[in-house]
Formats: sequence, C-alpha cells, structure tokens
Amino acid sequence: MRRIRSLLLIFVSISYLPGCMNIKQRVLDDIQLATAASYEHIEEDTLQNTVVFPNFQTDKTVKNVTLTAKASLSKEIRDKHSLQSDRPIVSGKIEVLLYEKKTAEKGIINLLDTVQRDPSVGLNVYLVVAESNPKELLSKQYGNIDTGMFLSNLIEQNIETGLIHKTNIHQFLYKYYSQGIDPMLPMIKQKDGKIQLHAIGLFDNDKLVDQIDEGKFFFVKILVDSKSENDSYEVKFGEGEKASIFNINSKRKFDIPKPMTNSEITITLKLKSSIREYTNGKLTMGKMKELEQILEKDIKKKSVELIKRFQEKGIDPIGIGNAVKTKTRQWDEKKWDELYLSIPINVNVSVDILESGIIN
Amino acid sequence: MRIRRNSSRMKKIENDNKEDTSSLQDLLQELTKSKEFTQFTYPGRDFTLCFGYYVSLINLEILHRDILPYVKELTSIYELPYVLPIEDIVITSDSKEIQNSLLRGSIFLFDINNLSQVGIVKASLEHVRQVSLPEVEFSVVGPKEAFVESLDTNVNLVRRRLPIPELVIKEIEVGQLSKTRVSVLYIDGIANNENVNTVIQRISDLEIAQVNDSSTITQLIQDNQNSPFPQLIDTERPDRIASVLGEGKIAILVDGAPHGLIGPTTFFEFFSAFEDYFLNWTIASFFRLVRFFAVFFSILVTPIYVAVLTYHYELIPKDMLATLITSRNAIPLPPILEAIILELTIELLREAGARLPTKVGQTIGIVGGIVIGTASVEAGLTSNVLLILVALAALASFTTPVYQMGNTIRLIRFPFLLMAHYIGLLGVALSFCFLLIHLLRLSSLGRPFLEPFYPLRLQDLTDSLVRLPFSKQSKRPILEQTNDTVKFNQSKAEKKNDL
Amino acid sequence: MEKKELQISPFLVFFLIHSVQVGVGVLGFQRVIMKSAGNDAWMAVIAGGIMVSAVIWYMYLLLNRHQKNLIDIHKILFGKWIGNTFSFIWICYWLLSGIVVLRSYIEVVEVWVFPTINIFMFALIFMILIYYCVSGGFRIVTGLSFFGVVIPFYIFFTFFFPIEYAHFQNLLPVWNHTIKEMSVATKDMVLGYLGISTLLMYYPYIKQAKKSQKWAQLGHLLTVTIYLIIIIISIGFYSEEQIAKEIWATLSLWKIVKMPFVERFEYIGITSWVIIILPNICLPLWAATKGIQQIFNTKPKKILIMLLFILFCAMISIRGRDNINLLNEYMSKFGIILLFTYLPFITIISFFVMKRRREKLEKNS
Repeated sequence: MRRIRSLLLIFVSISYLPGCMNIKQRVLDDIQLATAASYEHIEEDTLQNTVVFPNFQTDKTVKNVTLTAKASLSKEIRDKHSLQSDRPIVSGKIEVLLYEKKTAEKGIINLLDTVQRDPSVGLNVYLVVAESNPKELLSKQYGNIDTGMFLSNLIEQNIETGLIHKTNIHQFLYKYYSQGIDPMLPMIKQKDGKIQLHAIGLFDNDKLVDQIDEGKFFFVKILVDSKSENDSYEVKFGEGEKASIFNINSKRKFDIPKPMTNSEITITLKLKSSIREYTNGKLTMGKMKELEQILEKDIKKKSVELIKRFQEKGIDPIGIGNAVKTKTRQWDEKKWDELYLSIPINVNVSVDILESGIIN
Repeated sequence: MRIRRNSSRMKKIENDNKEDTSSLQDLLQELTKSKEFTQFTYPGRDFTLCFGYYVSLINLEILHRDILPYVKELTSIYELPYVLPIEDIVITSDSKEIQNSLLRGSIFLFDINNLSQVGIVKASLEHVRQVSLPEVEFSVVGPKEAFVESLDTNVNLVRRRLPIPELVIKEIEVGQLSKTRVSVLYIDGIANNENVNTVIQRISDLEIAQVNDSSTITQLIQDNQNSPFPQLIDTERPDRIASVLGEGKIAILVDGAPHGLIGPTTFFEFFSAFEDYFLNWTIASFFRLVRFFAVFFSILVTPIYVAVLTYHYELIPKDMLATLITSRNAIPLPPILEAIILELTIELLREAGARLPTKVGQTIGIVGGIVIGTASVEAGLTSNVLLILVALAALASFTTPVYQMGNTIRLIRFPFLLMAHYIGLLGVALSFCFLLIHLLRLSSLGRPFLEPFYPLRLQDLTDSLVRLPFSKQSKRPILEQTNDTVKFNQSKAEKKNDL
Repeated sequence: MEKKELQISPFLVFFLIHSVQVGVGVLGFQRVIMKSAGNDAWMAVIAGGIMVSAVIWYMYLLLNRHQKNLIDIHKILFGKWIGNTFSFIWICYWLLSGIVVLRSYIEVVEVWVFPTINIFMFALIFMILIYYCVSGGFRIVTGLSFFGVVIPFYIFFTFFFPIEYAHFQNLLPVWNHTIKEMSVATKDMVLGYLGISTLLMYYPYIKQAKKSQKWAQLGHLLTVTIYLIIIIISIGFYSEEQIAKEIWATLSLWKIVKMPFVERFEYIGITSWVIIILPNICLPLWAATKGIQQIFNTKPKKILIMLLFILFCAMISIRGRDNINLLNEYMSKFGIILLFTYLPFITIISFFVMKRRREKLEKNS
C-alpha cells in the first residue's frame, strides 16, 4: 500500500510539472532562427545591426528575410528587431557574423562580448569582414537558401577545399587572447550581384589593419597553418611557361636558435605537391627538378615579402611570437613587440613534386 | 441420445437410504443439485450397484465399453481394479476425495447396501487441442511444437526432451474455485535449492480464487508486482523450457495455459529469441544487438524528437533544419501533442488489430496505418518526419521476442515523452535514470535483474548481449547459482575429432 | 563486516571511487588550476593525483587495521561521545558535498540550458530520484555508480573533436612556473579528486576488502587520466587568457563538436551528466544516512527523508554565482582539512591505541 501511495505521489508531482517547470518553450517552427547578423557603426555611438533569417515556405523554398535596427548595445538591438518580427528571434543558429570594414577597423571585441556570453551561440560561427554595405549584402538572396546559410556554406566550402585558412569565432578569439599571434578573418564583397570572398583581413588585436588579396592566399595558408593541405598555386616562369601545382601537404617549422634576441629566425616550409597543369610541352624528369627549384625560389621570395609586410604593420598572423614564447620562460610580450619589428626572418622552402597527374 | 436411453433403462435411486454414513449422503444431496449430475442403479451379479457422475465431464464411451460390461461379474467393490480394463481406479470412503475426483471427470460406483466403500473410476472426457505451431515465438528453423492447454501434454513435451530421472515435477493446486494444477519443473542436482524452495513456497502461499492463465501466476509470484517489467519469461516453446532447465532455471507449467514460465531470469534474456540458438553465433549475435538497439530506439526516439523540437533547436545541424521546419510548417499543434496523437494512433491500431479476427485485424492494421498516416500528414496534424519516427519506433518495439516485454517497452515510452515535453533532453535523461534505478532494484526470484552487467559476470556475458559459440558456454550461468556449474567439458568440446 | 549477501565484489570499488570523483568539477576545473599553473597545469593534475593516491593508501591502512567503518573506528578510538561527535562532522561533510554537487549542477543547467527553470520543481525531481536510489540500499547505489561510469563513457570520446583546433605547442615551455604556483595549482586540483572519503563508510561492504585497494587506486588512475586528457586538450584548445574567462571550459570545448546528425554537443553533454552526478550525490548521501543510522539507531528511511529535506532546502535557498562559489570554497577547505589533516592524524592515533591495547592484552594474558 505504501509503495502504491509513493508511486501516486510521484505521478501527481510529475503531472504538475508543466505549470511549475517555468521553462520557455522554443518550438522550432515558432521561432525565427537568425542565421547571420551584421554590425556596422553608423555614428560614433550607434550601431546598425541587420539580422537574416530564413523563411521556410510550404512549397519547400526558402525566402531570405532581413531586419535592421539601430541601437547602442547589441542586445538592445535584439529587442528592436523583436518589435518588427512576428516570432521571437533566437541566436542559437547564427552561422555568420558580419562586420563592416570601418567597424572592423575600430575593433570588434566589444561587439563579440555578447556572443561569447550567450551559451546558445556555438563556436563554429564564422566571422567575416564585409567591404560593401552589409545591409545590402545581406538583404539580397543568392540561390535558393537564405543569405546566412549561403555565406556559411561559401566559407565552409572554401576552407574545406583549402583556399583559405581555417577560421571561426573560436580561432579568432584564441588568437586574440593569445600572446604573439594576431587573428585574420576572411573578407567578402558584393560584386555584380554576387558575393565574392576576395581578401583576407589582417588584424592587430581586434582591429583590422591590412588585407591580403586573393592571389596570395596560398602563402598565408602555408605560413599560418603548421600543417596545411589541398592548396593550389600557380607559377609563371620563363617565356609564357606556366605551371599550376597542387599542395598535397605542407609542413611549417620554426627554427629559433636564440629566442628573444635579434638573431635570425628561420621558417622552414616543406611542400609535397603534384602538378595540375603545365603549359609548355613535355614534362621530363629534368623539367620537374627545374620546376621544383623555380617554385622554391618563387615561394621563398613571396613569403619573405609577405612577412616583411607583416613586420612593417607590427602584426604577427603567423604566430612567430607564439613560437618564440614556447621556447622562452617568463615571456615578456612588450619586449617581443619591440623586437619583432626589426628581427630578421628567413624562409627556407623545399618543394617535392611527387605526382604529375594521370598523364606523363 | 445415449444418455436418454440409459436413464430410461435404469431406475434412478432415491436418497432415502438413511443407514449409511451421513457424509456420503450429504455429498450426494449436494451433487444432485446440479442437473448434469447423473445417478442410476445397475443390477450386478450379487448386489445392486449405484453409479454417479457428471455427464459433461466423463467420456460415456469409456463407461459403456470399459465399465458396464465388466461390472456384472463383480462380486465385491474391491475387485474393481482387477476387473476393469482401466488403470486409474481408487477405492475410498473419503467423501472429499470422491467429490474432487468426480469434478475431475471420474465415475463413482458403490454397492447400495454398503456405502462405506466407494470405487472411483477415471473416465474423463478431455478436449485437448492438438500440439500445433508456436504463434508468438515462431521460428523458421528449429522445432515447431508449442504448448497446449493440457498440463499433461505439456509435461509430456518437456519430459520427452529431458529423459532423465533428475527432472522433478512438483504439483501444487492453486485457486479455491479453479483448483488449477500448477507444476514446478526443475532438474534436481542442477537447480539451486533456494530458488526451487522460493518458487514452491510462493506458489503454495497463493491466496486466489481462480487462476486463468500462467500470466496470473507470473503477476502473483514475481518479486515486484508493481513493476511494468515482467520478471519471469513466458514461453510457448517446450524446447526453450527444456533448454533452460538444463541451465539450472526453474519452469512453471499451469494447467489450462499454453505458456510456461521461466525464472530466475535477467532483463537481457527477454531480448533473446530462442531462434538465436538455431543460427550461427555471428548471425545470432548481430540480431541480438539489433534488438537491443531497437529497444533504445523505440523508447528514446520520439521523446528526443519532442525535446529537441520544443527546446533544443541548437542541436539540429543546419542542413537538417530545412527538412524539419518545412515538415512542421503548417502544423498548429505543439510537438508533444503531435507525438502523443501519433503514438496513440499506433496503439489504437495495434489494439484494434488484436481484438478483431485475424484477417480483419490485418486489414485494419495496414489500411489504418497507411490511410491515417497519410491523411494526418495531409491534414497538417502531424509532420511526416515524426510519422516516420513513430512508425519506426513502433516497428522496433515489435522486435522484442517476449510479448510481455514488448508491451512494457511501448508503455514506458509515454512517461519519457511527457518528461521530454516538460524539461527537454534533461527530462529524457532523468527518466532514463529513473528507469535504470528501477531496473537495478528489480530482481527475478531474488536474483539481480540486470545481471550480467551488474553485477558484472563475464562468464554470463557470453550469452546476453551477444551469443557466443556453444563451445564457449561450457558453464551454467552464475546467475542461477547452480549446484553443478559445469555443463560439459570445454576442452573436450573444443577438441576436433576429425579424421 | 556486513552480511555476505549485501557485500559487493572488490572490483566494483573501481567504479565507486571513480564515479564519486568525476562530477561537476570536470566541467570547469581548468580555469582554477590554469590561473596559477598556466600551461603547466597538467603537472598539477598529476601531482594532485599522486597526493590523493596517498590518501587512498592511508585510508586503507586505517580501515584494514580495524575492518570496520569510520563510525565504529571513532567509537573504538575516542569512546562513544567524542567519537560520535567526530562522526557527526564527517556526516555533515558528506551531506554538504551532496549539496555542493547538486547545486553546482543545477547552476550549470540554469546558465546553459534553461535560464528560467524552476529550481523548486527541478530539485524535487532529483529528490525523488535520489530517494528511490538510496532507499534501495548500498547495492543499488553501487549499481548506479557502475552504470554512471559505463553508460556515459562515450562522452569522453567527444573530447577528441576539439583536437582539430588544438595547438599543442602551448604546452611548451615545460616548467614555466614556480614551485609555489605549482603547489597552489596542485591544491586546487586536489579538490577535483575529493569524494573518495565515502570509502570509509562502505569498506565493510566489500568482499575481501583488503584486496580492493588495487581497484581503488585503478579507479583513481582512470580519474587522473580523464582529467589529464581534458586539461591537455584544453591547454591546446584555449589560450591562457581565454580560459580565464571560461567558467565551464569543458562545456565550451563541446561547442565546437559537429557531427552530421547533431551539433553543439554541450547540450547532450550536460544532459548525460545527470547520470554522472547522480551517484556523486547518492553515495555521500548513503554514507550520511548510514552514519546517522549507526549513531542514533533509527530507521534509515526516516533519516534519508530528513537529509533529503535539508538537501532540498539548500537547493532552493542558495542562489547566485557568488553564493555557490562561496559554498564550493568552504566545502573544499573542509574536505582538505578532513582528508589531509584529520585522516593522517586518526591513522596515527589508531596505530598507537591499537598497539597499546594489544600490549595490555598480552600483559593480561
């Protein structure tokens, strides 16, 4: 009898749960899933924020819907968005956060605070700098999905195929908070009604300071990622001879003989590649060797140029400082920052062509 | 026809003979209250015999062929066993015994001048169903005999498979009204005495009016009677009973029930079909794993759907979002109602199918499933994704080989569903913990229900989640705490005597 | 020693020790130890592990000598009144550790999953679950510990997802911190291993208890390994400054997990954590119940209901990060004093007392 009574008690208490649990339901089809949001300073203290969400139609098509609002705090903006929306807007499915270029130049870490604090936002979010007006960029629909998903797929696809380095909000924050390494973010712009990933933005802490255009993505990738694969590079030499190589994998190594001194730092790049395209006749063994040397020289020259450029701006996206830090006890960031500007950095490249495609 | 002829030929005796013991008199008085009780006198050589029986219970052919022609030669009641060509004959004066035998289909006869000695001749009429194919536990390969409603036939089916004197069959009568014979079967020297005593004790102590089926016994003697989980396996296969008796388990057969009971058992044994032993161990193990997956799938899939759609939209990968949202776009109901409606629909279909005659039932099942399913999706009451999930979950629950356990699994899905609605995935996890603790607390005839996992017994694991080759199962399960732990010599079994 | 039917096989001590160590602490221990030890935190994990291993060792030293549980040992060493007072302190400790675990878990749920959840109702469900488990006796609690380790073990494989983004050069340079910093980190790490003290109560329930130390140490080793794997992945995944901001770094690790059928594993992680923390609460509560039962000789079910009532009141009255942190701090100081000061002390006392008694006995005979 007692057991039955206790069972009854459990049953009764469970049946009272719905009223008492006090949890807000967020039924999937009763919420607006924001997939992308853009931030843009329009005045000194005012932020214009545009959110995108998909509107799933019954005929299985998707309509791109955007809402724009202005406010000084980004959570405050959400309330203003809510005033325009028929369903509550939730941020758990945000895939892309867009920052207008000028806003990025002012620094984005304050804008990221709310995102970091919100447990519903994941770490796989992509941060992107927009060179054109983000509101316009987002309000146009590209293809049969909403723009947030489109942007997310665009970046994901390019990371997977190896055109740009791995990036997401976690890596941005990791590099931002790490000493001796600066973050980078992909940049997009609207061109002829299409979105194009045209550059990689270089950050000094959280401020955009420089950008590298698409031709040099290859160098950024092999220098930044300690292990990189799937990139491709095209080299021109002689008279109209062209070859395109495909990087099967590359390894980057730092050689720091005397950390925290002005002595030379060597970056060794080892590339294992295959040839994708070659425009001048037959590819012999001798030609391959020659090609390897030409490639080595070319990559070295351009890498050194790139690193010089970084040093001039005082930024360190490669993480040389970070590498020095791993070799130094009681690392002094300030001292390194001064050293970095003038430290000689050399790049050693060795290219090894393993395959030349399915034809000889 | 024959009855009328008999009664017209023979004069019915009157109950005015007051010389004899009052108990038999009382008994006869009691018996004649019932119209089908027939009584007549029959002139013998030296004395007049009086016959009595329940017409409905006895085989009149035996009466006419084997009894009446012989009793004419009778000089005394004591000669009965020697004269009649029937084995089961008792001479007694105990009116209680007379009454019991009469009710079990015997004829009594006595000298009308000597009421103190009554002969009881067994001539019972039994309508026994033929031993037929198993319906619930049918298997394509292997024996195809199933128990019937007669205890003697059933015992015969088991004994034929275990022709050893150690197979002990204890019989207990249960039920003040039904007087059901319940047999406890075990192999002496293998089965644990404590287990045997527990079973016999529990059955003897039963206080109940009627026992209609073996499931009545299960419900009454299992350790926790409030648990939805059955703690004794019921089976209709005599081969299964014979096989588990050899493992040291105890079987219970009930007269009038085509299902036997097996104990002590474990949770995992409920998911082993007997067919598993007829297949190669690799295949059998795979099927078992599939069944376990089916159980978890069946219990968890709808609750998880409800939880995720109600609270945890973050969990859905972006590529799946469109599918889920478009499927639910036009549906006005919250996920929980949607799920409950569908689950109830399936239960209704199942229930309707079970109550109707087989052929109609099948039609209801198929037509109802398709028509209601499509119609409710089209009407916008349920989403097609959920329809698929619920149908799969129902299908998965039918893979459980023991019917009683299948019912349990269908039932426990509902508390999970409600908790998922109240507190999302946390509710599912909490319900799961509750289920786990409940299973931990259960026992089957005092043996832990979650064995061989808790307590962990590697030896018993060889025949639980998977079924390893027979040669690896040379020992009896530790669960049974058998008196003789070794089934056969493993090294001998593994030795190949090929030429 | 308890009756044989109630006893458990010695290898289950593995699960009892392990399950009670891994609790809410795993979800966010990184921040605390990396605050002082930085990228050398993994050494603190090992050092803490060794220290706690020593605690297990002298706990067995004490228990093997007496073959009784702590309450009885107290009675033998200090007499009824003083002994029971000491026992009562331990009982409070166990109850408190149950409170801390459950409250911290509910906080995680509040912050991560359901910000507005009604703690009253939520705690009530837990109370029912705990009652159902603990009232079943020690065998059931052990069973829950066993499944609380085995079932959610799949979770630990998901910690390999963040490796893709980990920079293991962060572990360098090794030994970048002073001994002082390391010892502070070790002290903080030891907190992650606490909870083993319930062994003092369930020792008589172990078959061949003397031989079970091997299993206890192995269970502890598994805990150390899990902590070690998580801290190494965390050091690689986060930068030091970043982890200082992460209150629940382990949960944030899961945010990056992405599988074809599920994203954002932290919700599943938090959910599965229910079954990990349940033995973590049930075992100390069982120990407290058993202790009170032995001191006051009352019905265990009544004591359990009373303890659950205290637990429940604590759940609904402690609110806010600060208070929970404060409670955690008191609790850890309490635990460290008991395990590292009181236990060695009592072990030594027991040694001398037993020796003197033995001598007395020998003299008398």
